[in-house]
Amino acid sequence: MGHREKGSSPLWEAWEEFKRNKLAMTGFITFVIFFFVACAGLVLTSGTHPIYDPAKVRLEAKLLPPFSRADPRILSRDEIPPGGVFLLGTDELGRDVFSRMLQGAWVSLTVGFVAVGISVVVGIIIGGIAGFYGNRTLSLRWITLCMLVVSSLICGFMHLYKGVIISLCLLGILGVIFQRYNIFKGRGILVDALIMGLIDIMLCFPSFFLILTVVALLPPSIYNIMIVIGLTSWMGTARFIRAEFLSLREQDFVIAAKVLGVSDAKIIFKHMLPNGIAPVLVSTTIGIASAILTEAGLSFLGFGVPPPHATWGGILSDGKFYLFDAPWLTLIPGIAILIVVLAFNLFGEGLRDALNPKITRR
Amino acid sequence: MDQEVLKVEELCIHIHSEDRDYPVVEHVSFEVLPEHTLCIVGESGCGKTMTALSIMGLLPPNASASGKVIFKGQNLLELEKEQIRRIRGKEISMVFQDPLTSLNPVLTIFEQIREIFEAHDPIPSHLLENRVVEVLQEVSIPDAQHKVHAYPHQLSGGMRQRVLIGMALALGPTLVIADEPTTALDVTIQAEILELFNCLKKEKGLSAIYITHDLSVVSEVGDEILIMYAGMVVEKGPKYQILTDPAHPYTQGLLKSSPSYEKRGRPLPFIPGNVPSPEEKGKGCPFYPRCELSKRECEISLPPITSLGPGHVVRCWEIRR
Repeated sequence: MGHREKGSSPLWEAWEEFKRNKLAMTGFITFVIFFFVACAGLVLTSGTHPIYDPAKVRLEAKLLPPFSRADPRILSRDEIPPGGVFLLGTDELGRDVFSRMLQGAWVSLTVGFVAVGISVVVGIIIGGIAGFYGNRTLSLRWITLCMLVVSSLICGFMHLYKGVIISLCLLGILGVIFQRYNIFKGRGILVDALIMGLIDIMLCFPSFFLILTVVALLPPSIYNIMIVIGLTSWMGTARFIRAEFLSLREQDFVIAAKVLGVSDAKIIFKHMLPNGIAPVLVSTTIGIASAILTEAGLSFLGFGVPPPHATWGGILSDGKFYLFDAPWLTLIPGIAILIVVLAFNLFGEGLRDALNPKITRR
Repeated sequence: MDQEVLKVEELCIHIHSEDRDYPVVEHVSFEVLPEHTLCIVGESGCGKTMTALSIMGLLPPNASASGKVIFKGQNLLELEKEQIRRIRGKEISMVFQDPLTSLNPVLTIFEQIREIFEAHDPIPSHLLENRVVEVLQEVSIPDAQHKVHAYPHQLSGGMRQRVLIGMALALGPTLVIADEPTTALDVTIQAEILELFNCLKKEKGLSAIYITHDLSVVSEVGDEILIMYAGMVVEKGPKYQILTDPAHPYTQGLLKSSPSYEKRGRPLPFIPGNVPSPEEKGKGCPFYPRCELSKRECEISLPPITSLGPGHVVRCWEIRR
């Protein structure tokens, strides 16, 4: 039946606006290239006999500069990389830096995306609740009891059985007190105030040190790092979504949808989220950059992904002892991190301008 | 006597603030007869919209309503959230004041109309597109087949109001509440929309509540008129009686101050002062500070409702004498 006119959808218009911004387009293209390189990295470096083996040690060929030929007189056939050239040189154990960079690219990409994915989902849910249901009241009694249940669960999780017993005892005592006496009766706290308080508390912790602490307590694994980075960076998204929802909630079209009998969930996800997602998209791209940076920092400090697996921060960290003899070991991952983070930031800023055409009509 | 479609009895709405409650609507009673239109007229801040929202169960969380709103034998104020959600849109629907903001800017018209069917009676997807186009054709939108896939910003204000009216009528409701649907439109479009509204109402046998502050609109659409002032009914009656022989000084003032051809060349009279805010209201008649006829008793006590004839009631001490 009816055909869709091109150039009418809001996303299409944003894309048209985005294309005009050269710097942002450069960032976007770099991001796309990085994406494919990282995917290729996964394919080329995994398996039992990968094409580019990042873990192969060649002590005869250590610390070779970039573009040096692999010498077939010293190295056996399966030690020579494809093409016979160490594109980016070798490190102190004779491992091919190009292979290791490829493997590290995939780590950076997944850490960036999964961590930010977690933080966006958590942020949208918490911010959405604060924005949409913020003016409801929770009874103080209910909150106190819930907190005790949660604390006993956490204690149980960490095998602190004394803590479990103490929390459960307190729970019982408080339950009896609440039934007999009038403490906290009818007193409540706004959902919004509660959630915003939680966000402010989370923002108080210097996040890098919080991540360091948590990572030090948990067994080292790439998944733990993704989850920890995700769970410590959702506050910005939550604030954006709350702010957007607060104003969208009062918009006529939301009330009109209610009048037509549309359910709350539909209103939130179909009417409000697409209208309020723009600032979140922008903060997401910049968030990916900072997650990549955080992961590199953690790996550099030795808290990141465990050693046999290469990461950019890890390569940088290993190379720092050979800064003067083999500068490429630090320069290559350093420049790679710089380019990717810069690309994401430029992309994010371009996106912000494109989604908010009112601000920058240059 | 016909069975009324909607009967509102002694409706009171209070807004709770931190230290006290303010009444915004007090003891409002009216009924809407089948295929009749009731106009609720009053200045801004008289509780017109609040009354409409309470019928739809959409009062803001810091407001509460008491009294009875009886629709098809049910008191709407006592229904559960889910029950009232089923009634909204299907049995009672509403057209809003501002067509520019009542449509979601990121969804196409098609998506937004489809939603009504999804919420109330799902129809198979191959029939959906035809049904949606029918909704638009009903409100005489030209080129409806292409317009369904447009975004709201690609339509003019009048077109958007047509879409909203179409949406409100899509499921064949019994009662439509129109909250100043023509205020945001310019005068020529206003006349078109009014005509469309009247036409559809007659065609489908709808009852309507039409909220407005514009008396010239009232003469076009209304059957009965309810004049509200500061949350109270001050006068209620059949259209011609109110427009030709108003009893309450406020109604008289409103009629005097609406422009017409006969009054050309002379300055337009107005009612001095403002509507008292809910916290300023005293015990007496809310209109007494602005009333030409005010006496001492007006300040002291609230005049009771007096009947002046079939269906015509007024709340004023002067009339009582």
